Amino acid sequence: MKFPYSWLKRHINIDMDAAELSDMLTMSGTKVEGVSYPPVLKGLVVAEIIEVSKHPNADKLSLCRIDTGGREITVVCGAKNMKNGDKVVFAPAGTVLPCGTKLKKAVIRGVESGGMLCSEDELGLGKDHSGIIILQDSADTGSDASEYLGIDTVFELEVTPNRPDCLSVMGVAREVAAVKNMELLKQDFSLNESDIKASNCFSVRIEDKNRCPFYSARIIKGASVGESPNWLKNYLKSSGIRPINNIVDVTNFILLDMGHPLHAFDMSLLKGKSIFVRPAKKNEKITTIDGVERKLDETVLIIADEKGPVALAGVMGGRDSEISANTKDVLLESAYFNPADIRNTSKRFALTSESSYRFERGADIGIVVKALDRAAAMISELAGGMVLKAVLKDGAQERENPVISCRVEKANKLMGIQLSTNEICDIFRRLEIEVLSEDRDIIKIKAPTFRPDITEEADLFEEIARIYGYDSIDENLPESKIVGDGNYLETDIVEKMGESLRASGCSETMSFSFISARDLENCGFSKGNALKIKNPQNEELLYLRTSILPGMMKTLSYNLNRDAKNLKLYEFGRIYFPSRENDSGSSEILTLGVALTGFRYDSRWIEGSQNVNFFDIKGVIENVLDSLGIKNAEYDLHNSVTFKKGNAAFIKIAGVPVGSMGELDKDFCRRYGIEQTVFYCELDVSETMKYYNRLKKHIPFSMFPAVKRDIALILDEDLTYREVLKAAEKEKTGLIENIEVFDLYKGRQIPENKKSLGISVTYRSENSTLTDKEVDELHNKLVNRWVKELKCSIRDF
Amino acid sequence: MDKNLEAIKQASLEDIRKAEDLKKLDSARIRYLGKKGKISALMELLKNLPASEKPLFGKELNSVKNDIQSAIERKRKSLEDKEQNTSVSGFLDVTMPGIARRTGAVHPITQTINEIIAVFRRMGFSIADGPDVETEFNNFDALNTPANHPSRDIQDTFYLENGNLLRTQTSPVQIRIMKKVKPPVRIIAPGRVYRNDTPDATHGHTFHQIEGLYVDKNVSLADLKGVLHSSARQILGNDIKIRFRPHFFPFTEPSVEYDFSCVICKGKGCKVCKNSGWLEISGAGMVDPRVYKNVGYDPDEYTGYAFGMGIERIAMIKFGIDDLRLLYENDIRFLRNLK
Ligand SMILES: [Zn+2]
Repeated sequence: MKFPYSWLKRHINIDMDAAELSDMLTMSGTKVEGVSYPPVLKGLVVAEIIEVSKHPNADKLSLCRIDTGGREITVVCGAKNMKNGDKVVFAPAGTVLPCGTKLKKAVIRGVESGGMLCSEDELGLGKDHSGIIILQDSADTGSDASEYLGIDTVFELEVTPNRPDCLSVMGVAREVAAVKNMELLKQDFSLNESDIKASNCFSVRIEDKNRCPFYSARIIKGASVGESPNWLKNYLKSSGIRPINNIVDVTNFILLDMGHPLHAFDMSLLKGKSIFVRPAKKNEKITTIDGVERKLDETVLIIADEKGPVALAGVMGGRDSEISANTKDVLLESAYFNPADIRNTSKRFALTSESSYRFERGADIGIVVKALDRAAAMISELAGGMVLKAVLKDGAQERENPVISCRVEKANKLMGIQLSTNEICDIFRRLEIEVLSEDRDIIKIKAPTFRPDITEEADLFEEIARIYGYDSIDENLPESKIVGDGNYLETDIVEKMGESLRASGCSETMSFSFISARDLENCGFSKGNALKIKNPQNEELLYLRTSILPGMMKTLSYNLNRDAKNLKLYEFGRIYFPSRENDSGSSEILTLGVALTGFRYDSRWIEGSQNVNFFDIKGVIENVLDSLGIKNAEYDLHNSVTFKKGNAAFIKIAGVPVGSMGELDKDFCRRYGIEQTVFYCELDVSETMKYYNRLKKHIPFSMFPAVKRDIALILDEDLTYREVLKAAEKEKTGLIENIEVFDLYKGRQIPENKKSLGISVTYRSENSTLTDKEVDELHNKLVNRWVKELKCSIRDF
Repeated sequence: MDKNLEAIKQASLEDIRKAEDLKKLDSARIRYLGKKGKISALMELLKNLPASEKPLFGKELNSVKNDIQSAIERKRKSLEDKEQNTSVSGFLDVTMPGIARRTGAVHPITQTINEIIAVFRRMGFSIADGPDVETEFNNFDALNTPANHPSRDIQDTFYLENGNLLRTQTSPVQIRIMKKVKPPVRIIAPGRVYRNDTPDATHGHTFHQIEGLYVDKNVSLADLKGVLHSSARQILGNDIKIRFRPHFFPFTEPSVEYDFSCVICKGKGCKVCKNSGWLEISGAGMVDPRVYKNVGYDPDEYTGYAFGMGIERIAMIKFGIDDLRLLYENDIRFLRNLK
């Protein structure tokens, strides 16, 4: 909602500067989005064109001989829209234009130009540069032209959907009046009716009074359609509405001034002698003034003549009965429509108009006839014509606003303030809320018809608070007590995991919850197992992600393309699956994705330029699990389309799969433009969390020295380390403290399909120092078991 | 010299030379000088030699043993030097970079959420959670926003083919928690929300909010002002001021939008705050009695406040980020810089 300051001043006698007014409106609830100050225009003169002639040396230019108030000047002009006798805006040489350019006398194609005839564009008044500004004929030649240009400060407001009453200049003035405790200025007008009764030649009828409770109209005969006066055109333009002709401009003026939408029909184009407000019939059609043909049915409320639809009620008129240059007789409509019906039509055709915007938020039924009369008076004043006697109407112009009780004590307690009954009544009076009765604690009120939003006591509390002023309300510091379980377990667990990941050098990323159909395909996920968006903006937002991986791939690719080749990244996020168990139809699983690529070490000068491998990502995950006190994770070979064959593992805790990790498949990576080897892990955090071991326990350790024995076993290549450990566990002596692998070797000296595993075993007793002999025996027994159970041999150096 | 002894000597020196680390060197030592080593075996042999051969062989054996020992020592020293990397001409270049692992960075959104959570945790709020995919009822109807209400237009919604939607606000968590728990309720609920907007420097289709809700006997607007001001001071510093502007949300009455005083110009007016001295943060208000009716609370017995906090907005202010899109590009330079 936009309007110039001078328009507001027609309704209320104020003289605040624009910043002060804008602050006042913002703090009382009508937020000022922007104030545009007028361009500073000095030295512009009203000039009259004496003669337009062709430029002797240029086809596209004209020469204008102008009178600037006693002095004749010749100006070269590129526009085509002027004729002899027009009043125009002349900027003499020396004038500084809003863009900062200072005009100089110039010779254009051999003819000297004494200045410039201005367009809106050049003066910073609008975007129109199709021609120069033509002023009204009554403009005083030689006087200051800025007087006629409608130069004014313009306010732009953000009006919340509950306050349709603020969608008019009068409504804004009412707000100012309430806050400043002032009176509105009366908008006087006089309507001269002819003796001929309108009802003699026409009638209006509502067929569904639920959808249209009240409809009224007036007839103006013999009007002449033409341009509106400059003041009106300037008002409309400043408010963002294009002037069309004097009849339509008046309806738009009333819409902006009083907030009530009107519609004008060319009466001669209506068939028959009646207007009906009725639901459309199936298969009826209408072409609206925007030139679009629209198919109708019973759900759409229309205005019809005896033949068929002439307007979409409250939204837009029909093209066939539109006011044109030939219009003589006008049927002017003013009505109140049910907001839900207007919204339905507007949504149905994706068609929003200034009119529908106001009707669907709730118009003021109390001013329907007043708006009609004022518009009729203005039309007959600006376009001539005769207003026929009496208003044509059907239905009842009334709405019983509910009686609401306002409890004074409750209001004070809710806001933390101390207002008396009188003070609250005074606020109501300023807001034109009618106080029906008051005793000490209960005020009974009725809201005015322009406030459809006030329906309950809480709505009144808000009115009290905003007029009293939020700045005047004290602050209470919160009472320090814990309400609820005070448990932040999930937050804390995720934070522990994050700490561990960062200690391993990984940085956190955040990607969107959406993926494309291609992402699903790439990962080998089924579309049936993903939630699909019905109205996505584009293909990338079609599904909810079922894995962190696609987002991670995009992040990797983004960074690799920017020459960051060594990346360690992690992301926590929800992944989504259809589910019938939840009312939301989704099961949302908190998931962790980790990706490593490039060099292992930051300090390559000392540690060498080695690339990360499977055991790097495994180490990161082992650390994460360790941070949660989870010691019993197991790993098994795993195959999937995203991982390179034979290079990935399942992660299981207590036999339950919680994730997978490994080297990503090369072709998969290439689909995201990645050539580098990437290691990735995805972990179900919701599931992993269940194994969080909050209680750590001290385990006593032995005071006696340990003895170590090293050995190298030559094993089948596919015999896992886990088997080596499992076999050792069968030695139930309780004297093996630790087994550690220190070397894995394949190649020369080792037969094919075999590997050498260097193992260091630590022996320790809780009660004594083990002798060499005891250790030799223990070690021999262990090695013999390995040789027997694993069918391995001992590597001799 | 005994040929055998000579061969052992050469083999041992070769092994020592080849040892590339201390472990390999030690196994070489064991192989030759250990209890069961080759030199030890020759020592055993020496005992059984005729007295005439003993002195010579003994002398040779000892000298070989010494040679091996000193070769091992030299090698050990050189390997140790190499491990400590001071071997380069003995000069310690203290300006070379250290070898600590570079730790990772926390995403600025997580940092902001964690900080805000910590503030409200200290003030006795519990944490609550709700799904991103919500029912139309929880996201709109229960929050007093019926199907035909124009305020649904403000928020362009992503709908799912299953009839549900992506929540446009964290407020449906209010409904979920109030349906489950009787008052008093004092929670915060961080999470993702979605709007079907075309992304630009200040709008995205995805962002984060923290919802706050406190319902009890005698909770007032003054309490809301206090809790928001206190949290603002804890997050952005003690000199932050706060202001309430009347606004409209269907599920609070009265409703406000709240602003923080501009941290950049300290309220004097600058480009970031559009010369107003204030930065818009988010919305809040007193829970509308119509919402209590939807969850079965008695509006005459309980009052309460609710507020939202736009995480991206606060992160942008906190870190001086001027383009929202940076937060989801995940440029590693951006992330490391704000670590
Ligand atoms: Zn500022």
